[in-house]
Amino acid sequence: METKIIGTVMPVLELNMQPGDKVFAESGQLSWMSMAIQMMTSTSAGGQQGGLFSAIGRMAAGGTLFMTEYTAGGGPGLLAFAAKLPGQVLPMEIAPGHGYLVHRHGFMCATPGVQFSIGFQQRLGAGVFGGTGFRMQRLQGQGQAWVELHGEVVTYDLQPGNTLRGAPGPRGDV
Amino acid sequence: MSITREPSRPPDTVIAEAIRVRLLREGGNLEPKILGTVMPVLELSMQPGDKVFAESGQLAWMSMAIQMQTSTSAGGQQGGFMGVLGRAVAGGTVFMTEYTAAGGPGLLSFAAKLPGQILAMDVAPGAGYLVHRHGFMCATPGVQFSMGFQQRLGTGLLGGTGFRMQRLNGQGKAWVELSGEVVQYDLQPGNALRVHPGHVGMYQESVQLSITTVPGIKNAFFGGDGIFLASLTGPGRVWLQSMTIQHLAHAIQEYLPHNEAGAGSVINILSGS
Repeated sequence: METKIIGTVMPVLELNMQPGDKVFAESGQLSWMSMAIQMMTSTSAGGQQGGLFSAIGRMAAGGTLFMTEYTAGGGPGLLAFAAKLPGQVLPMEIAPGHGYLVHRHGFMCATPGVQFSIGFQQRLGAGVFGGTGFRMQRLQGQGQAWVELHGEVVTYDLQPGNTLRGAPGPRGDV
Repeated sequence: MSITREPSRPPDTVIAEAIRVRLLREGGNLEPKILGTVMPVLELSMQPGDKVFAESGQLAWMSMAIQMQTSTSAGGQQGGFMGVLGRAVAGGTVFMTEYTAAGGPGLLSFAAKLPGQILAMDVAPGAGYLVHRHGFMCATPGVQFSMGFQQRLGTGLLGGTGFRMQRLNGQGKAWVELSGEVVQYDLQPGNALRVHPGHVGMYQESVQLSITTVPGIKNAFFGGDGIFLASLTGPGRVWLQSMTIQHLAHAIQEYLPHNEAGAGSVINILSGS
């Protein structure tokens, strides 16, 4: 599978998939695809935990109940996800011990083997953020994931015990 | 301590001089320039007699030499009842405005309404284009602007307004705005792309568009991709846009003040219904 990030301010993630290649995404994320790509939607698509609690947990984390798995069947295919706001698309390598927490609208898609679940949740008092609270989604397991962050992305490496305090809105990967 | 500033000159003088300098530098008539990067502006430097037409309300700014004439048939457009009705249904306006430089060179500008790109297209017989419903900026007379494709997508989806494309054919130059990044694909005969409807920016008239439902009942009811995908079949070139007004509206909706009575109306307003 070859991937390309096209554009600068409003990037598009384009995946050129070989037969048998699979990725999964939250339902509703697709932008466009060629005819060879097959879609399969269920609560457990992409090898995600399909139990009632996992699915509800995903929904509570700002995700959707249903996940869609995209498979190139019968030939190479093309699949694209567009960023929904100006920003950047980051490819992340996920491995045991190398998981990430991502802001609630940040997950674009991942290869099967990556587990996508709720990571952190706290209510921030009624009224703030429309009373919806602050939530992060967890990416762990093994594989490749693509994440969208909005605006410019600033990276910091924190030493053990170092703390950054940020306003809850601007928060992407932790 | 006093703050000094340059004495201001009357705006018309400034503009006239800017136009004169630009015309001296560049020569030619109807010299188009696309200014800026993320939020581009189309600036036309027009010689006396040059004309372009646009939908009413598209103008951003113009100098004094530009005359406006608004009617249902401005710019040589079909003014008959059916032509007008077709434009209105395609997401356009009933009235078209024709801009003419009279008595001297003039400057006319149209600004993109969302971050994106402005494309200059040469329209000729056999080389027409279909453009998304908010994409047409302006064109030279000789280009015909009409409804190209329309399909209702079921009640409620996309604000219940359906999916519409506008057709540009005839002969001349047209300027089109697409939102976000623009990705081009050349489709071979029979090749097809399935596209979330909001991402369809523009395609050559040789490309066939049809609205298909997402295969599989499970997908159709639970997919969230909408039940509909636009299927674009070659031969021909397609231009897809990365930003859709639906995604933008969805992304900001939860941060807007909610009016209990009119909850959920934000998307309707932004999508123009």
